[in-house]
Amino acid sequence: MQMSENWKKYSPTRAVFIVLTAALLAGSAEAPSPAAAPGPVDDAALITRAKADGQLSIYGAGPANLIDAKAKRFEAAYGIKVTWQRLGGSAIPARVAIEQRGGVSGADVLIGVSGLATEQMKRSGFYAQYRPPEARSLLPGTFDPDGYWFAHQIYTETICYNPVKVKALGLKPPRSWEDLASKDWRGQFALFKDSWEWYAALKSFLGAGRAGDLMRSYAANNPSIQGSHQIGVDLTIAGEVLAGANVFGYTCLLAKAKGSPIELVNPTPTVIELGTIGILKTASHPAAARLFERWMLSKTVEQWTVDDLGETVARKDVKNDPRLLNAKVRYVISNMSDIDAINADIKTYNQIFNFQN
Amino acid sequence: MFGASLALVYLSVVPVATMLYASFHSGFLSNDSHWSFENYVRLFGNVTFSKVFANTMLYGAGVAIVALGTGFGFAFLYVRTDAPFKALGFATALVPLIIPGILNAVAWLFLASPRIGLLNTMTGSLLHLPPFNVYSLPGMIFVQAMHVAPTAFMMAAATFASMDPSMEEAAIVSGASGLVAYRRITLALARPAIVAAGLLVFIQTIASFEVPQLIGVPAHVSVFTTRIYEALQGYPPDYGGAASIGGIVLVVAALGVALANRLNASGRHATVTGKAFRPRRIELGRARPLAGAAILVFFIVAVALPLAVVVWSSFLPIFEVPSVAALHHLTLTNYAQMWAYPLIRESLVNSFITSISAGAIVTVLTAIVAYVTLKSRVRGVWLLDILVSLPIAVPSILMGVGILFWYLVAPLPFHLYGTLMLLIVGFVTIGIPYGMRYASSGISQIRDELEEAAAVSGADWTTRFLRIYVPLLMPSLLAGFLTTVIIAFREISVAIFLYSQRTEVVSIAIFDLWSQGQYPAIAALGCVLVVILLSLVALVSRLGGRVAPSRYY
Repeated sequence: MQMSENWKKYSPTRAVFIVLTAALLAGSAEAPSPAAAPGPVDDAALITRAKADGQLSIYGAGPANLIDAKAKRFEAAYGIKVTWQRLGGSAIPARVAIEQRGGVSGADVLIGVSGLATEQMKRSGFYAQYRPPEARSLLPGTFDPDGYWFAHQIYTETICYNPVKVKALGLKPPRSWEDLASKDWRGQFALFKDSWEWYAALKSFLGAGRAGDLMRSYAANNPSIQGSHQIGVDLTIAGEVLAGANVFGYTCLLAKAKGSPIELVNPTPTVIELGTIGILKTASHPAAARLFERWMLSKTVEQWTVDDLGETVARKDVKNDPRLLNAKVRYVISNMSDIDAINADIKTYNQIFNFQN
Repeated sequence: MFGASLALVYLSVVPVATMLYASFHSGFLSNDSHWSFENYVRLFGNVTFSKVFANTMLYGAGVAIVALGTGFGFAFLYVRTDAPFKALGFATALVPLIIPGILNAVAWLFLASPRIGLLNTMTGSLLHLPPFNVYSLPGMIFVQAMHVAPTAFMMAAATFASMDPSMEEAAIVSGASGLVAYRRITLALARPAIVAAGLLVFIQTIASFEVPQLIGVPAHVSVFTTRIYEALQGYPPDYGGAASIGGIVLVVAALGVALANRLNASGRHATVTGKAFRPRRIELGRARPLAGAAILVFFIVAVALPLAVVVWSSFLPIFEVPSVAALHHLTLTNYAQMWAYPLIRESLVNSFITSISAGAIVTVLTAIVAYVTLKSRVRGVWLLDILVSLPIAVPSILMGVGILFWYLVAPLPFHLYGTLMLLIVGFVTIGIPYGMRYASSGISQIRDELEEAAAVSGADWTTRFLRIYVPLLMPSLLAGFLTTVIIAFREISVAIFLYSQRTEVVSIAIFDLWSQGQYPAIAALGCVLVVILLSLVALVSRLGGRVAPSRYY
């Protein structure tokens, strides 16, 4: 069944984002205050076992200072020594794979890994199955139903643009994905090279035909292909390009807060990528890993990451920044469970943009 | 001698053998890995292979030509003439070598990006010239050439400094003009160094990672290392596919090494004899201002501008074109944040330990092995020279994977994974070819009669080596030591697969910052790194001056 022919009639993804929108409406409203909890993780036995483990090792993707902040906070909360290593999102699976092959366990838990890389590692049998009770509070589509991984944060993929440069050139600010496909924007915007999940999500929303046409228009428009989402934001701020396609919304807001000339647009659909947490099967400190996972998914910590670190999270009862998540925007999460379809999407995307593989 | 040779062969061959093994295995590192030509079939069958191959060869050749021309030209002016601005000349050669590749590429993006590039902004407004687009193959060649010209400079400077001028003087006395003597005597004698430097630069370029990644990808110019990185970053990682590209590079490099060995084997380029000499300084006369202007322009383009834009960026929260308004945004915050960045201090300490250790190991081992290959009469030494040169023919990124895999799965009685020693092994491995070229260039200049005289007088090999060769080789050995130290400091490609928790080095910290788009922090760290390495160079040079015979300076 072609998604593009039938997505209006039936689409599990459509159902997901309808539910998601409803959940966001509920979450973005003022949630009733819960009864006072004894601490982020209410499991004395687990805490005791975790402390007996004594230490925890993390591989994380995302900004290093945010990983460090979480590690220090957890260490302060439980007295468990945390060591961590930041790796690029796509480097984590390769690192884990080679360590597994060599019988070495470099990390206990992985955080910030993209949904695609997470699902690939799950299929390779790297993760341990564990269902923390905190996962019940996560938005639908943001966790593995088999219990191997959970989204401790979500990234909204949006459009950013430099209002000063756009105005100077007499262009209209982009409001939709299709705007960047127009001839006015030829060579004027940056695009993250490995945007497979973004393409797959657009395809599930728009249909294969429209999504493919959009990608081909982008390719013909000669975008500045960059190695990370952040570089797209930086080049937009500097004025080398006028806009960044599929950049992370929270990074735009952080830059804007510093006075940078950048504006954020939530196009339809705004794609949501996941930053997941999962425990490795070969973890040397499994109890500490479980405690950390529960701690990261707890309401207290998730709210802290929103308020203090500027991130966006997947818990229904946590209030996110309304500029990133609000009821007026239609969102879509790509379905990572169908890995064969995703691999086909990757191949199509690479062919359209003439990338290797 | 045997132990040193064996150690060098082991260090050189193991990662290369691992890479070749992977290239002939389908599903390398998986449970169903088996011997196969599939990787090469896929590679040659790829419709883009010929384009990528052509891009890579053009890129390497272009960089080699530009780097050799500038490096040897300025080395000659520096060592053999009375050209002014000598201090600038040396700084011109050294500073680009110290600046990490990523920092150099980022600096040139700020200088030569079509819209925001400082140079383009200035030339466009003042001279109404069209912008130079750094996002192009010529842009890649220019940026990389400016960065690797010091390699050619240092090899050339060591060669020219060790060259006995008596043959040039004889030619001039016989009526040859200065230009004829330069062309037919000086260049001819320097030919081994020119060939070696050209080969080194070419292979170094086609195996480089930073410029193709930062400039080539946005420019839609794919070269071998671009494809290798894509293969290794995909999941599952295509080690076999990446290794097959490495195999192609190895073949190209092997042909080059064989050619270089053939040219150097004649032994007619030795000029250092038992007779004392002082390098002849040519008086340029009316050409002196021209030489000075050339040095000045090259210094500005290759050193001052990239360094200035890095320093400028290090004091701004976000990059801005210089303006009065931008002056109000200057801040020291980046330096404070850089210092507070997680693991920066540890990475600096780790870099010191690994680079100094690697430099020392490379210097000692290559000095001994260069002697074995050039002075001993052991049969088959040509093979030794080829084997120890192998690492330069393997892209560093594959070298790192090969080393990692070997020390993870090989049944060795010790474990290196997770230790600084693994990084030292990696840096030694990539430093060996450079050390060998410097040591070989130096030893090839020393005639046998010096050692023969000592042997006749009863000196054993160790005494002869330490008291005759080492002092005479000091310029070359120091150059090799410094090159290895600097490469280890700035090398990312090999370190990226070898580091683990608590063994991060500063090159990885820079790469981390780049991938997070933290250009101001990169600029701040880059400035600190340049100061540290310049101090190191000054210290080593001062120590070298006390050890080496003064007549060479």
